[in-house]
Amino acid sequence: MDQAIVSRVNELMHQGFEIPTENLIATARLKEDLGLDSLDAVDMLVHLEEKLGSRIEGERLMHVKTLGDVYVLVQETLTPPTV
Amino acid sequence: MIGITSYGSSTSAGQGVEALWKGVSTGQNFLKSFPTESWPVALNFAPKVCSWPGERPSSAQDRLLFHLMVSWREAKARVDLSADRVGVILASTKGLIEDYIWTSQSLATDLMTPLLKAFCQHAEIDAVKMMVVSNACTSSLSAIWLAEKWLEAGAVDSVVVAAAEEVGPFVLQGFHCLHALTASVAKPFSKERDGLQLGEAAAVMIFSKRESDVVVSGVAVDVEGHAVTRSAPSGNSLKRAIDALNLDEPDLILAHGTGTQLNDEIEDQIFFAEYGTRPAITGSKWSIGHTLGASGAVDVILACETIRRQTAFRLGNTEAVDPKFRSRYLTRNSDVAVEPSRVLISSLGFGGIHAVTMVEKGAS
Amino acid sequence: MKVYITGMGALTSLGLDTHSTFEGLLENRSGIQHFPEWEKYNGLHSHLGAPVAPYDIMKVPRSARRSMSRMSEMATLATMQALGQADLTDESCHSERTLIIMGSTSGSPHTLEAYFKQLFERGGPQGQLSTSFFKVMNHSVPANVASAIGYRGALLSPSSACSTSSQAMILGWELLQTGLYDRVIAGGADELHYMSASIFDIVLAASRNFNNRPQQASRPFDKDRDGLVVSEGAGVLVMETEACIAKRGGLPLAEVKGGAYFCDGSHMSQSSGEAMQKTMELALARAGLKTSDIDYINAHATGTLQGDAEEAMTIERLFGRETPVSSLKGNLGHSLAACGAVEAIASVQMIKNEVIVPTRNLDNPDAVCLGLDLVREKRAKKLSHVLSNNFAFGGMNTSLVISALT
Repeated sequence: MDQAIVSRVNELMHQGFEIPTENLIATARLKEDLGLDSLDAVDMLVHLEEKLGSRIEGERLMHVKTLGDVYVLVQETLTPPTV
Repeated sequence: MIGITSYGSSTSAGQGVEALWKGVSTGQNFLKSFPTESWPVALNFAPKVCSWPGERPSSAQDRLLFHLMVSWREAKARVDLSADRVGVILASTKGLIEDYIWTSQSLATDLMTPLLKAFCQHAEIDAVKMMVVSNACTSSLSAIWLAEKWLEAGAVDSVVVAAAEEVGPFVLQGFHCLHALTASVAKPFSKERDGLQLGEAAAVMIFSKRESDVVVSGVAVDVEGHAVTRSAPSGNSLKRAIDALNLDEPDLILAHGTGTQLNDEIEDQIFFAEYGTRPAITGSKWSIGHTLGASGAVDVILACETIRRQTAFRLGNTEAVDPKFRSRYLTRNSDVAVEPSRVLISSLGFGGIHAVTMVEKGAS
Repeated sequence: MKVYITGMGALTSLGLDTHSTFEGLLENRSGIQHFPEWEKYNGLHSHLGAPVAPYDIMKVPRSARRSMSRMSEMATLATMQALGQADLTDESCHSERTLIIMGSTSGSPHTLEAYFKQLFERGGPQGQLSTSFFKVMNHSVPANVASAIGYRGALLSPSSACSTSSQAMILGWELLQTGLYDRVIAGGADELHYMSASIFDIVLAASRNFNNRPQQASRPFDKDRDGLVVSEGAGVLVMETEACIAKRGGLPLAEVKGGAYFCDGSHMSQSSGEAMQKTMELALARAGLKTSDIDYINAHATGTLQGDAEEAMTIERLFGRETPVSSLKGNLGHSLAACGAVEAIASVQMIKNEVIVPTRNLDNPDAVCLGLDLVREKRAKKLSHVLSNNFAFGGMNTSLVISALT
């Protein structure tokens, strides 16, 4: 997992949702451990889309349960350039 | 060194090399909306493609064969191969995929050989050697590499390289998912470049050891294992391919120039490192699109035309070059008074393949 | 039945609570400032406003805060102050016999501006946060207050611009009379934004000649008045029935004797003296009082040419020349939905401190007001009954009587 992605996502979670940095580990469950509810999930998606400049299909959120899942979602969305 | 005996093409600019040259040299962009009503799947975007004009036969095989035959007839008109041992190489990335992928249960379907055989049959070539070269976007140049090997080995007297690529939902969705398509038009080497436009093309080239006024003086292919869809930032694989040519400098380069951020950056970097600003750089993908497996063949044909006509053509969609770039480009307002005698063509393909070939003025 | 005020909370341009606000009033201070950044808005001539100082909202959990704009934040803090003073910070305020009545002029203007800007730029709702809507919906203030205090009870959200919180109080008093409720938490809030200034500016009702002298702007009843100055804030009061207070051992601060609202539908932006008079008469009648019983009138008077004149003439017609009158808007500016509650709170404080706060910036009374006893300096006076007026666009007239404890 690209460390740059981890830092960017963690910074978003910390700034946008006031989650203490020490709680931001890949295995943390968004709902149970980080205290995010469904409204937060929607807004997290919007913040990610704004930061990445890419669309993320809303349905993909349904499979995102942990912070690690968010890292993967971001990585898959940030498609690298091609020749 | 092998002679380029004759050639023919069918592109979005129209049937024949004259239409191709006219389109590219008069700054025309053949990108247009692609009708998707008859497609087996729905895309979530409205595609634009440099597509063949005119009616579209309903199967991939019929479409590809039709345009290959148009190209073949043009190429064949100038030669007599009756006394030759002929080798045939089919260069294509995706071949007949659109005929199979939406319906076929078998994963082992051969997407190429049926087309190659159908071509030989329709062209009435009794081939002594047949081969498919499917090396992504370097298929054509890789096919020319193989043709050179066959001719140098004396295995054949002439090689017919038949290159063909069409654009369908599979290819379109793929490039769309890679975020590789331009939101407007392809602007190679421009600061505003934002991706490529796809195109359809068929081209047939006939090579032999006979003298010709245009020759392939060298061809090289290098492969790196950096990433599937992009080159290593160093551009070393392209550099190795160029160095392997071991030839004098070109005065004109027909770059791969897809118009993606990365491709153009790599080519500028390496061309400048190798040649400084001495050669002028141009390309054709802004006009007739990136024709994937057929792109190298189309560019070799265009290279021959620049030598024969003693003039170049411009990057029609490119007004201002990316200020970070250092090579010399024939942009929209450039003078095309180049009298090329040696033209380098480059292709960069998925899978980390880099191929280059040099086309030169021949003896006769 | 008797209704008493047991708790008050406010955030204003003079202070972050009722105490500092009243101190500021007694010291004749003004919170009005010049906003040079408003100069870039084409067509806006009034560049003055009275902002609330920075406050700490962090004690409200993020899950409640995320849907709050400034107006909801201030309303929440004011509500917490009021409940604190009333000693109702525990479970006891949550009941179907408690009613919150609160509102604002509109959804958050800041968020509305940003929301629509993005909507137009992107040609659709792409990229809007879910929480944005909760800031712009009309009942954003009471919904957010309820969410912040974990409220479980009845809730109403009236919205009538400048008369919002006075309507809330009067409606609360009315509903307490029915016996359906024991307690009403009434108030209003609005946030400062150039759009609010522009609403008045367009109809030439906002001050535009004092941009370089902000402290002298907002001059109720003054000959040189040139319009109102918008401000922001929140005001919340807890009102309870006598029986409810007795039962729980609460401490009343003042009595809400009665109030009335009356609309005449004559003109959208210009007040009608007849309607104002009718409103005040109704309020008095409901309070069971005569005009001579009123010791002080807290006028709405915002500093507009027409409004102040109409109110002054009406007061003189109804009350004669003996009743002291002042307006607090020279100090506080016009806090729109909050002003009714904030001025009612100030009225309670004046009663308790036996002092009338004068009208600030009233250097030369307009001829039309000369018949009134305009309080221009702090005046010590024992006040038994105070009449507080608030009038809004659309002929929304309110009048409230607050009385000292007997």
